[in-house]
This record gives sequence, C-alpha cells and structure tokens, in this order.
Amino acid sequence: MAAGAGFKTFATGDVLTAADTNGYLMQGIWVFANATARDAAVTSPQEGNACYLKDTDQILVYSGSAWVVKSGGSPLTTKGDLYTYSTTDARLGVGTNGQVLTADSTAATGLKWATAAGGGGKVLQVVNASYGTAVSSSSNTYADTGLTASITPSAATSKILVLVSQNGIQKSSANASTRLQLRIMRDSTAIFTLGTRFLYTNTTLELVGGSASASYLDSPATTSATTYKTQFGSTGSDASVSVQANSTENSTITLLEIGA
Amino acid sequence: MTMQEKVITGADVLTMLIPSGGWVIYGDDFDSIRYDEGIAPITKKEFTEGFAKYEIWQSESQFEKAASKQSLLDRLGITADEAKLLLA
Repeated sequence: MAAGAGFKTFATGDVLTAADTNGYLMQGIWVFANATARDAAVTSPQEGNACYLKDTDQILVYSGSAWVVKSGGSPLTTKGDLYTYSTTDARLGVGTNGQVLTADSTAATGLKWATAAGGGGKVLQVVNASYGTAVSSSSNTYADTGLTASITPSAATSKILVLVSQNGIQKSSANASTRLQLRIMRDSTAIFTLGTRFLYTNTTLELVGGSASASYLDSPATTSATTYKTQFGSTGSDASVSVQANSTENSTITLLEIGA
Repeated sequence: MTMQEKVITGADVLTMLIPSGGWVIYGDDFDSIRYDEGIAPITKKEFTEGFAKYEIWQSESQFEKAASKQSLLDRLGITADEAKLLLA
C-alpha cells in the first residue's frame, strides 16, 4: 500500500493515474504530516471525512464543524494519570497519597484530587502518651510536668479532644498555704487551667496521692504538628508539690482528632 | 503491718537546701534542676551529700518545731489539747 498523498479534487478530463489511485482513491483515511497540512489540503471537509495525523499519531473524524480525535494520541504520560476531558482529551495527574478524586466544576476537567474530608464528628486519629517520672516544684512559675503528646491534624477544621489524667499529685508538709496549680498547653499557649487550689488543706499536713483529670475540646485550626502538654506549679511558691510522685503513678494524655 | 520506709528524693534534698523554694526538679536528676530568678543554684556536691544529711536535718527540724510549739504553749499557759480546742 502506497503512502497516503493527501486529498485531491479531480476535475472533468483529468487522467487517473496509478499514483492517483494509490495515493488518493485507496486512502480510506487520509494521511497527513500534521493538522496544518491537512487543513491546507482539505479546505472544505465534509461530515464523516477521516484523517490520520502522523505527528500526533491520531485518527480524527470531521464532525461537521470540527476535527474530533477518535483514537490514538493518549495524553497519559505518568504512573497514576487519569484520562479525562475538558474541551479536548486531557490528562489528570495522580494526587498525593491518601487523596481522593473529587468533582469540582471550577476545574478544567471537572475533577481534582483532594484530601478526604473527615466525616463530621468521627474520630480521625488517636494519640496517647504517658509519663512516670516524679517531678517536684516549689515555684509558682509553671513548669512542664513531662506529660506531652503531639498530633498533626488532617484538616484545619478538626477539633482535638484532649484527655488528661495527671496522677500522683502530692504536696509537702512545709507550708499551710501550699497548693498545686495545673494547666494544659497547646505548644506555648495555655488553653485550659484545671485548677489552682489542688490539695489545699490550710494545714502543714503532707497530702500524698491523688489525681487531677480534665477533658478539653480544642480548635487548633492547623494541619501542622501540634504539641499538647501539662504544666504545674506550687501556688504557695515556698513548699514543694509533685506530680507522678510515685513510680507506680503514671500520668496519661490522649489526643483525639474529631472531624468537623 | 509495717511502716513503709520513706525514700529520700531530690525534692527532699532541695527542700532542705533551699527551704525558701523556687526550684523544679525532674526525678532525682541534678542537671534537670531549674531555679526561679534570684535563687542561688546549689552545687552537685551539695546535692549528692544532701541525701545522706536529709534524715538528720528532718529530725532536727521536727525537734525544733516541737520545741517551738511547746515553748509557745508554755508562754500561753495552755496544753496542746486546749490549743486544739481553741483552733477547732
């Protein structure tokens, strides 16, 4: 089969040569180097005309108003690509791990990859930590209890439910006014004070054992790693208070990401 | 039933050495000690030796407290029970 020669309109009296036959009449699909060559040759295409373009390796059919790709010329280039359509065939590159395909009328193809929205009120992740080293303070300046946990919210709209059980709280016998203060921090911001009068007896009696618990629903409005921790101090500032005072008294902190 | 023997902690030693307070300690780790502004830090030697001295200090401290209490009661001319009654 001879190579396609393109398109030609024969006039009355023209001699039909073998080359004409092979190059034109035998061509069910006209073959062109590119669309420019086709358009130069076929100035008045009719509905149903077909052509093959060498440069893009595509077969096109004239719809009556435009040449429409019917085969070949896949836009796909990369692992995970999706074959989509805008005003022509289009490639949609794969999203990042964990993303889901979402309809979006503002996107050229009507599709986009996006982070899966958390189901409203559902627990998306849980982080838990404990700490068992005794920490003592005779300062009214807040200090870390050592109890800490970090979480990276999957969406900025998520809430974080902070559950704290600060165990082994204790006050020494040195001062009647001694009492323990305790608060929850998000990074360097104090978000909740559990109390400032724990263990207060107005006596110099040593008070051993006990627990302070809290649940606090926070809205960090971030998708960055966020650290929650507890801090404590001695409100009297001259006698010591302790947390995790005994090796068997571990404190725990649990962070639950709740979908918006 | 036996009394559980008290384990002397770093916090006990600091209470003895810096009775005015203003410190924080994690476990018994000398290097973890943090001081409030204006509080003179203790040396590691003082801290280490403090564990051996603590019990004596505590006994003396309790004795001094008891003696002060008795002296006050004597000056007031009342007994300890009468003092409790007054405070009740």
